[in-house]
Amino acid sequence: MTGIGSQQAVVSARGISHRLSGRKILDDISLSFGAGEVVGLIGPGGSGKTQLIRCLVTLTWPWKGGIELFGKTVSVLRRRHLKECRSRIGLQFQNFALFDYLDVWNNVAFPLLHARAMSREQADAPVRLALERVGLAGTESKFPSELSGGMRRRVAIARVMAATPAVAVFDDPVAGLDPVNSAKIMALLKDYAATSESLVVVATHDLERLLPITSRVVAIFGGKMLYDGATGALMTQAPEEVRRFVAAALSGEADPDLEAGGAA
Amino acid sequence: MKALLAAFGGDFLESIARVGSLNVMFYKTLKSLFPPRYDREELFRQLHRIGVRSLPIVVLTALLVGVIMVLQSMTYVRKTGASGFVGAGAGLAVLSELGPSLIGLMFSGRVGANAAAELGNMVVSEQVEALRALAIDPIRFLVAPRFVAIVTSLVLLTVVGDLFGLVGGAMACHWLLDIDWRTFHAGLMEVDLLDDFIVGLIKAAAFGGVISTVSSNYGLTVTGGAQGVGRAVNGCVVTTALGIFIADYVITWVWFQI
Repeated sequence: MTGIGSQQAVVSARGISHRLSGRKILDDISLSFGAGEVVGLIGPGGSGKTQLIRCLVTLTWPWKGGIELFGKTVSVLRRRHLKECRSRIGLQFQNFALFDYLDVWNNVAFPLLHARAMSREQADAPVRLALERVGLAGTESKFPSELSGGMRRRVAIARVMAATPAVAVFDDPVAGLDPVNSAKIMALLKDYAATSESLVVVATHDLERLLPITSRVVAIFGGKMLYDGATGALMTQAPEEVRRFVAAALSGEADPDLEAGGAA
Repeated sequence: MKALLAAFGGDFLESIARVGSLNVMFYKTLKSLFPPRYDREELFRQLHRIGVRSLPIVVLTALLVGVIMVLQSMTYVRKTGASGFVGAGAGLAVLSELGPSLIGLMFSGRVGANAAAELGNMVVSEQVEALRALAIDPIRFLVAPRFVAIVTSLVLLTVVGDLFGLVGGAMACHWLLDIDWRTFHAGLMEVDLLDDFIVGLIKAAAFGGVISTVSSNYGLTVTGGAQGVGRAVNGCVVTTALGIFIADYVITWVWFQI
């Protein structure tokens, strides 16, 4: 394992372990991400990637260990400070989590209006820019139910991008998409990562498109972190199990999901 | 026997846990109302959906309550010839008891079940998690506007319902019992109905609080996907009806003690 902790960590986990329905899903994970890093979170389905993300963004409190956000230990933070930390994080949920009763504009503007207390006029420019970036300009007044799965996913991504958070987390941004749409979304994330100073964390099974845009990879297998290091060193320094998984995923020989059975 | 006891005990513990959770939800909702920083857009959306759209069903329910009240008393009025009391009887029954209770029950079926299903779907589709991830308190953002909208709407709808209940009673008197409008009116004016009107409004506000708290609690604690939403709606309807009757009993008892 080649950990590359950052001097100015924005998100850190110290020995976190977590259980769900009696099953250990995260086992003693320690890592530290810095601003400007683009991190790929890889691993078979059900390996604990989503749970790790949920712990890192404080949606789930780990059973053991601690999380630090922007240099502050979240378990001892007062509610107001925790809210302040959370408002600097953007999370794209695996199944979009768009608000059904709001149109596209209001969905994308939501963090700006409610977490950043911007006026509608102030929010308009970043919202339109984000929608343009994801190729959804002109859909502002449509409702999520009127959009295809791929479009909804792009709205969810635009919602993160519009808020320009210090930490942008994309949980399976290309799940269930055809290769053309997957390529479009990964190109979008690459563009976003290149132009923003945020820490960008992307969890996906599409390693072929993920690895070229990341500088660092974290591999989670069965709740354990088997590799944390530079993307370039993945195939030389990662344990055998990770290398086999990556090779299989890149060659399309086996579906990583099927190997572990179940979603993260 | 052991299995039966275990099942009974499990249900009992679950009920106790639910009562505790309802109290916590009620406390958190009240706390989130002050200072009133809840989303105004969401409040107006809820007022329209909950209040304005419930108007037709409330008017119809109230009219029928008035008519049924008079029909129930028809036999005795004909036997005794006490037509002068019909107005007073209808007024007392509609304003203090049947109006708020039946409108509350009708409202809980329409609004409470809907709110539980809506919030449940938001939980299942991670919309509530998205709020938390954005540092937005779901109670303040989702529950507080519903609480205000449900309580306000139910109080205002009860006023409208009282009016239409009396109109329904007067119509039934006139057309079914051949009692003159003025006799009904005189009977109505003969008794002091202000107290009954006020207790009816207090009940409506309490019922609104029960409907909002129960539906929000069941909605936000949904587990297990679409099936869980169905279970929550079912549980919400039953618990709300029970809550309305308990609140009705407590308020009536306290009112008679004062």
